[in-house]
Amino acid sequence: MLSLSFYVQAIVLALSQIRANLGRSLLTALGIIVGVASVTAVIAALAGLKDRVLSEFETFGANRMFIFPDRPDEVPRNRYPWRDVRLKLSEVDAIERHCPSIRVLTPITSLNRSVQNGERLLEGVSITGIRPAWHETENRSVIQGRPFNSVDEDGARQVCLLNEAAIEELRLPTEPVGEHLIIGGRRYLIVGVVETIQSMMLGMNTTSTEIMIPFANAARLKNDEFFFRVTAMIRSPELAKEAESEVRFVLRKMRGLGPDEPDTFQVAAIDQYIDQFKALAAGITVIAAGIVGVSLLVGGIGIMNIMLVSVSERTREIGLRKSVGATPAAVLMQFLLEAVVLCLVGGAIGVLIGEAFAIGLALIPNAGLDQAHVPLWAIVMSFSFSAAVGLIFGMFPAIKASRLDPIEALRHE
Amino acid sequence: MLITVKGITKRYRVGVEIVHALSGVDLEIGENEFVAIMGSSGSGKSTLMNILGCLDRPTEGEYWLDGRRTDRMTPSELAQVRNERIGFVFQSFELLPRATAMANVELPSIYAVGARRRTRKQRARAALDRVGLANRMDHRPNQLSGGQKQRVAIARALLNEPAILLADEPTGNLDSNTTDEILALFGQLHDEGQTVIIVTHEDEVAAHCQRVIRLHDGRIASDLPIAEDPAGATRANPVPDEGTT
Repeated sequence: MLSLSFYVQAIVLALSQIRANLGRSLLTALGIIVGVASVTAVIAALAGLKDRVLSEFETFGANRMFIFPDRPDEVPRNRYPWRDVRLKLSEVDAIERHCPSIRVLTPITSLNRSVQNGERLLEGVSITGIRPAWHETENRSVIQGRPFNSVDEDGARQVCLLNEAAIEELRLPTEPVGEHLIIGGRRYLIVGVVETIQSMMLGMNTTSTEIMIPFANAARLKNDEFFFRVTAMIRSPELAKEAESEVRFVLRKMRGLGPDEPDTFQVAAIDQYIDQFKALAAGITVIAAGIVGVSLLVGGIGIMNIMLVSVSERTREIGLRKSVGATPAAVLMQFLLEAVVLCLVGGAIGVLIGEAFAIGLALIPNAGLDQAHVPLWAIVMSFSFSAAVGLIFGMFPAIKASRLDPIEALRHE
Repeated sequence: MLITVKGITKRYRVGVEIVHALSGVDLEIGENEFVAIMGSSGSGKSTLMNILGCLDRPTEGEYWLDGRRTDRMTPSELAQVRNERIGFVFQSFELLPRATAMANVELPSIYAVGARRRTRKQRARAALDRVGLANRMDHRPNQLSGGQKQRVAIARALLNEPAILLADEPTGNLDSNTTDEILALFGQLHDEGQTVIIVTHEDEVAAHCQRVIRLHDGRIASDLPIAEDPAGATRANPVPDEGTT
């Protein structure tokens, strides 16, 4: 058995070897440094992206579920024309009645109309038709006036909500409740102003002009066969799967879909998007790991090369060590430790460079990477991989050293 | 007997040829002897030294060192015997260039089993003191003279209190004054009870020993006390011991 002081000495010796051949050692470790630095930077960027996306999902509510018409891919598309697959209000009512896992829902439809405030006229503004439950599903309340209520919806009243961007765009007074807008030639009373929330992901930029009218009113503005989607709120995130099956059951039954027929709609809980994103991040991580694997392999070959040089240069030293009692195992361990220490030094430099990259990435404006950081597991992983490279590629030179004949080694010039 | 060698032979294969480096050597060396092994190159003296030093194993024959038979030991077992029972001194010192005298002397102890750091330092200091280098402990080899380097090497050989101190041409790289110094040191260690074996081809070196074993063509040609060996003739000259102390 090798003593503790042997290991201490071997590590000290390995470090002094690196210091004595600093330039050579760093060049050798370059493959490891580059590999570890790049994986650290990529992981930092992904970690930042993930945190950001997840926190946005959080902001927009993890309990949301989307229901929208969809034409199945597998069969000839003309078998399911858009006209037939679109959602119907009767279906919405059925979902509302027969899906206990769904707390509230709102159909949502969009239409483009001109909007006028006195002299100010905007063409083709996107108007959204919503039910009162929208305030809950979108997690958006009013900052002035009042939200929509069932009276607005049931009576399909000509009232509207808008956001701060719309106030500015239409040159309305800062407190516009009680004013009137002309939307598509009809007069609408402004009853409230909704808060603005922002998300770079998910396409939910609510900083542009928004005008909401009751869904029933929007339905009147369009003809009978119009498209809409449904946003629902699940009672709790754990019920996502149940809610999905309930909705599928109701819709398939109402549409009379046979067991062999595909869904003509999609039900997507937000956690599915999270799963998709996580899968994407995992995919990128695997690709990055592949790239890093290649550079670690190259780095490992460099390590093996320099260790062979080191064994050859220090043949006499090996002979001496053997003559004073170093067993083959001790010599093997010494050179193995030297390779591992060299790789770990390379790994440490790589982590530092990767960390610097992460800080640099976080400083890039509008890249969405301001939360880029190197997670602890990535550092642990980098060091483990470096050590593994040292072990694997240091093994051959170390075995070579351990097998040297002490007499030959001492005679070596 | 400290060393008992019975009918040792050593054969090497060099290409297609088989070289008989040793052919039937019998030898006994007792405790606290001071022996010179002599012979021209090719006589087998290096091979004998390697076997006595447990660096090599004989092809045939028995080698008993301090009551243990070593000729069939594994490389690891031989390494342990070298570590505990044998101290080597080489012609070209073989010091680690970047290590201090102290660290060089300590070297064998890191391969010893269960050596405590405290006693290791103390023993290294004591060994350096024994060779008269107590004041050079923190010097590196390039800051030492040839004689001092060899003293460090001798201190290293003494660290684990070996059964035999085995020196291979220890004065081959030294000038004549330093040679005398180092040989006087070997004499002093012998006086202190150390068994010393010096391999040399120089009569002047052998003259310091008490017993001279001469090898020729892989056999012992003569094994005589110094007084009866031709090398003893140089002993009468006033060159050795007295000059330096």
